[in-house]
Amino acid sequence: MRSIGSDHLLVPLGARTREVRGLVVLNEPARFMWDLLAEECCVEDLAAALTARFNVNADRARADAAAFVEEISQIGLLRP
Amino acid sequence: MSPHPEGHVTMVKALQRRAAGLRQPVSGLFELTERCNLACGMCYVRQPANDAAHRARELPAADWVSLAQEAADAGMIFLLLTGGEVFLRRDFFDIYAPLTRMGLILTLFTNGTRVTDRIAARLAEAPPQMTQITLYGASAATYGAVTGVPEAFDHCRAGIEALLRHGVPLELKTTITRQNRDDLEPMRQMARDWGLSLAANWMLMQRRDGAACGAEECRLSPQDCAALAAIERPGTLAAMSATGSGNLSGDSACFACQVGKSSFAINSFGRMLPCLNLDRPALEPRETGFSMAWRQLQSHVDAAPPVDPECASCEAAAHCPRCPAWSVTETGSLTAPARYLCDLMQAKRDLAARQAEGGAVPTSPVAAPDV
Repeated sequence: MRSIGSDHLLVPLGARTREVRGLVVLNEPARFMWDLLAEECCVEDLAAALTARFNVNADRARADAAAFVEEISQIGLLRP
Repeated sequence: MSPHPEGHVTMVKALQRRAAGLRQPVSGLFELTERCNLACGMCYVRQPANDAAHRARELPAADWVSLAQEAADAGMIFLLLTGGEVFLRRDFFDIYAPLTRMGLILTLFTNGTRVTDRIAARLAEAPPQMTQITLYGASAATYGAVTGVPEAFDHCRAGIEALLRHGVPLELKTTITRQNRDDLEPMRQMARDWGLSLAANWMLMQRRDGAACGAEECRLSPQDCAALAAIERPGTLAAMSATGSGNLSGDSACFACQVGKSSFAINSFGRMLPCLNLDRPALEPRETGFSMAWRQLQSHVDAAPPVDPECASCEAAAHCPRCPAWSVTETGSLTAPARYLCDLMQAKRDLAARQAEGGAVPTSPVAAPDV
């Protein structure tokens, strides 16, 4: 994880650069969720944590968490 | 191999602007060697490939790696490796491999002629975000005219094909000179046949060390540059026509680019420069530490004199590529107008005016050769 102010870039290391193309820039909520994903958790866990940390309602938090998981799965950053 | 994802360049520029606000040295440029196996007349830096004196002064691999780590610790994220020709360095992978483990987004510039299957396979183990190869023509004859090395054409093609075989991200670019201008469309066709993009540049700067070079003999005339711009980048000419006044509206900072704000360069001897076209100040990051050299570079940029009044009030200033590097290499001054660019802006304005009046639009890249 590399940072420019409040923008955080996920930069693959070594051989992982073969799998992850392009720039992956995370804002603060995305970085918060990324850190949570260091340990096993599901979309519901992420949504609950987002609701507790940021001023968002449960529906919005769940939608954001689901979209984030979908996006990072598509670019190969998340394995089931 | 797919090019950069759409929006990538825009996003990088936005991140660089944000870094500039923080004075974070987010973009670095390492010139691993000034030596090159080609002998292009227009090159701003080239030294002979077998120049033992230059090779002896080049920063050793371990020093490049420690400098990169210091820069990364100070906030560098984007790093461009260039030359000369980087693959003249036999220890290239002693530099490259550690960089791939530092959390850096790497770009590699090469002429492609020394890329073997073995080198492509090594790169593919941890490929850069992008590799850019410069094409100098669409035939051995044109390569001979531009680079002095006709066989480099076949070597470059082989290098491109090796990188494609191994899936290394690749883009092509070309430098248009009087010697290869008729090859632009054939080069585009070559790129298309490989499924690659080709970006053309025709703005040739003189050598940064002030030594004599052939840039003036290689440059297109201002009129030919304007005609080429009208075809290759029609939006820029249309913008000149539409905006009318293009002066700097009070923004007279000498360095309008990211130099000393979020970017820096290190030359092959380990000196920090503002960019690879400016050789002053030449700071010593290995002696002072990277962070001190970076602060010194910022001070240099901040203390630079404002843009020359003639440039600041010029109606074409906002469209003109003049920068301190252009001024220094053309005039020796950081700020003086570069007459080649003044003539180019006039040619563009003339062409834009003719187009606005419904005049003929150029249909071929440049007029008949004038040499």
